[in-house]
Amino acid sequence: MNIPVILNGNKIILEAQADEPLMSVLQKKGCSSVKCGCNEGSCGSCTVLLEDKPIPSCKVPVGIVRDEKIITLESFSKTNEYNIIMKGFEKAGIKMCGYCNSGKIFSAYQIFKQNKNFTRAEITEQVRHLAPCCTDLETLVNGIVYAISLKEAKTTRTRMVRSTRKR
Amino acid sequence: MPRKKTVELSNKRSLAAKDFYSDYFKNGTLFAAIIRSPAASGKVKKIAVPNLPEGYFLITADDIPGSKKMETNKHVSKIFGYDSVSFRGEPLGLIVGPDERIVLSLLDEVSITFDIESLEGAFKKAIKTKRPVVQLSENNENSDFSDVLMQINQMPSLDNVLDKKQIELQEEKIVATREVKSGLYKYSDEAEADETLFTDEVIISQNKWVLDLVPPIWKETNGAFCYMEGEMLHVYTPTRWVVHLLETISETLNIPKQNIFVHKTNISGVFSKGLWRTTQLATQASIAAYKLRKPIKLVITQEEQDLYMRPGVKTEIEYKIATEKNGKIKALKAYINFDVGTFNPFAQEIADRFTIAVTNYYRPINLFIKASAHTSTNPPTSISIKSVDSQAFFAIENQMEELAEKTKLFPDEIRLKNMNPKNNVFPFLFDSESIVPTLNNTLKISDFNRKYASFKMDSVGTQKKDENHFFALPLRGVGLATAYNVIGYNGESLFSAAPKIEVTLFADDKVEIHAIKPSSVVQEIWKKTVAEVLQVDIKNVEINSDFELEEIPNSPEDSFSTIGIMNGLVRKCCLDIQKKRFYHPLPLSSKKSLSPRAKKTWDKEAFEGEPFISNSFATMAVEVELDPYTYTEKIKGIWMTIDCGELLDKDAALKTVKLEIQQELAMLVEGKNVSCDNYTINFVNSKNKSGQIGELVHNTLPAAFSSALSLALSTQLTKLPCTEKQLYNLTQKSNEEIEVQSDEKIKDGEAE
Repeated sequence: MNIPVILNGNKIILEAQADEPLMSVLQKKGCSSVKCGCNEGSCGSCTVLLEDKPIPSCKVPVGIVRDEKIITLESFSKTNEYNIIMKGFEKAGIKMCGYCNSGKIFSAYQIFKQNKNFTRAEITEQVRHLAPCCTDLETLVNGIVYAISLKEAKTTRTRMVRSTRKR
Repeated sequence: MPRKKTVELSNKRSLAAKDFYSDYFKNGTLFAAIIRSPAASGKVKKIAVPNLPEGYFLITADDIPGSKKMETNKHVSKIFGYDSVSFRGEPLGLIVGPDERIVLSLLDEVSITFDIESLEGAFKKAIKTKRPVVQLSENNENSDFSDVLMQINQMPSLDNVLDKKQIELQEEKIVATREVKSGLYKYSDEAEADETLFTDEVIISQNKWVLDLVPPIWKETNGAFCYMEGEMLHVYTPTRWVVHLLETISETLNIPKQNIFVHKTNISGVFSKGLWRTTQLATQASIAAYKLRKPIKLVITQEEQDLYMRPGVKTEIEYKIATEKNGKIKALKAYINFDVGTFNPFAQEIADRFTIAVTNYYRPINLFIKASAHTSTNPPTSISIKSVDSQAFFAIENQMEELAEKTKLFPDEIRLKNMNPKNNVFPFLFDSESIVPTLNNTLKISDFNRKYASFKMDSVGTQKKDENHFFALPLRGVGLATAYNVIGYNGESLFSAAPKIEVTLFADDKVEIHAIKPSSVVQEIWKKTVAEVLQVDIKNVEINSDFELEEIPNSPEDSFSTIGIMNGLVRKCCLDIQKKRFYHPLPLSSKKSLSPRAKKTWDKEAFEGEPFISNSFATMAVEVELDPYTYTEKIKGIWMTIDCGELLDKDAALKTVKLEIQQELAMLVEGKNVSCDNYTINFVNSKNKSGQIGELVHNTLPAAFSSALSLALSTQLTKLPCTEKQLYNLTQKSNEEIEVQSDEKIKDGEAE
């Protein structure tokens, strides 16, 4: 079966059985950031962005993603958001193992892009399900909090520059 | 078959690969899946895949050009099963092909023919002597007895059905034992000593303990990626024993070691990968890559990982303890029984390590320990020191809590009373007193004794309160556990080879540490040490894992990754360079290895002395709340105090402990992640050598958790991981016991 998708900004055709998990199809396409963890959709290692929302690709049959936009960490790592998240993680002392990166980074992105003032407890609840593969929950939450604060600082700076220019 | 000519090339090879083995892919990669024996015993006559599609291949033991067997720690096992199979799930071959899903589906179509000559004979005999017992097909006149036999042939292990009892009896045998005796047990017969020690005047406590934690399933499963490049074979796998893998592949494929490049990929997961079992998997994939001249990827399924790659061994530890009324242990007997599966090349070492750990740091005068390893028809097992220690500590610490309950002492009192540092006849020497500061601090920060007393009173009154089920309060308990973590084993072991390290300072201020790359946390610690001693920028320090073939360490990696020892060696090398750097031209190198003197403190023959180079200690208290309606556990708090000597990086240490706690919490209850957001972790200042800290959590948390649950349920939980059903049953049992006790009291009252 041919399934047209937009993978990492490129229009491509995925050749696969409709019920094949998106995870295995993406792995075959060379997306090594998509890892197989629990295969139950909870650990986060296979997370990708489907139409800008993080989803566990091990539980999504490839047949339902026709014409949808899929972003994996390979492409997301070239964005500003990624850099801010990684700086936040670095500040918190997170050293990622490489196996669970997708889950942690895309979960942080999901919180990060909502532009809400989340409490620490709310952030904890949103990332609690992720596998404690290489980072403990408290440190991960610290990393996300740092990333949010870095993003806010950057936004404030940009606004200030714009208002100065207007004047 | 003559060996192929070695292609000339530099002997130096990098052992470190950047990624996980499952990340590697090359055009034309074929996926492999393992064909496993459906029967636990029987003779394999033929393996076939009818209608194998084009481009798909079957690889069996017949395709092995060299030795069909591998040797691990003097134990010989098969690469692929042939002739007689010895356990259900034994790998018999591979199906290889370009589509992973088709490869997996072909596994269902494999036809394995078992030799049933004996059955055939029995049938023929039956036909000759009596009327046939098998009704042949009525529709097909040509159908004869051989067709029936053909069909039966393809069924798994009929021999097994025929003579199952005999086979099981034949296969279960004791493969390793260790016995340790001291005090009265050393000088008199066991029965006689028992009679003298286990009298009516002492409190006798007896129980069996099982800790069988299942590793979480969010890690990469085991496997390998292999390909041929000319005459060179490249193997990517998460091995921790490079030399073993190199030698096994060389023997199996009959090619020189120089032609094999092992790339040690990243390791994910709580437990280290399976040592000899990783070698076996990588060798199986190499056979396919060598024969088909195509890249091969073998990734085992999660189910296979759970069934055939479980860390450690299934163990049952039974104690019988005689305690005086003041809480002092008069005699301790421990029976350790573990199942090594079909075989385990490390059975003796596991028995030895259990024997040492099973008394923790308590030193009873009269001691009798017997560890036995028995085989079974279960899959073979490997060694996991992490798992051995935690099973032993789980047993002894729970037993101590039970003893505290029986002697009506506080858990810390019973522990302190039995440290007995003046007992000179105790076979194992530890610096047991280092545990005291950690114990005192944990009691203080967790307010343990107050909670213990109040929860105990609470649990006694639970029965009355529970009469009104709609208003039952949560059941609460608190548990204590103490344990140590060892650094360097002095006994006989494949894991105790003297570690070596080399540091080189170059003219441009760059420093190179030559060693197999440890974990990222340990790498940071090494780099910090080098930067501090040699006063160079930390960015200039690099770890080089390129080795000459002959230089690759012989022993498994676990043996030389001990942070305390290795960091000590890095420091020594740096100090050595620092002394010379201003008098000698650069580059300057310094090589250091562990002094063999340390080993002399252990008497191998008598199995006594100082078993470890150094220890780190910890005490943990856990407070648990159990919902009386849903049987859902919640940890209200974890308090832990650690003495790991000089703390090299407190921040990293703290993160490691928190991470280990979370990983452990995912394994305590079946299918559930127990939550806890309240941790208090303290480190004690001490002059001890730097030690590992991560495993301390694994050694204390299960015992502290089950003790807390036991107090909450007012009955003893003897097995982890637990289930809600098990907890419900225990509550029922506890209620029944209380009812019986109160009935007895009423009867006694009436009688009076």
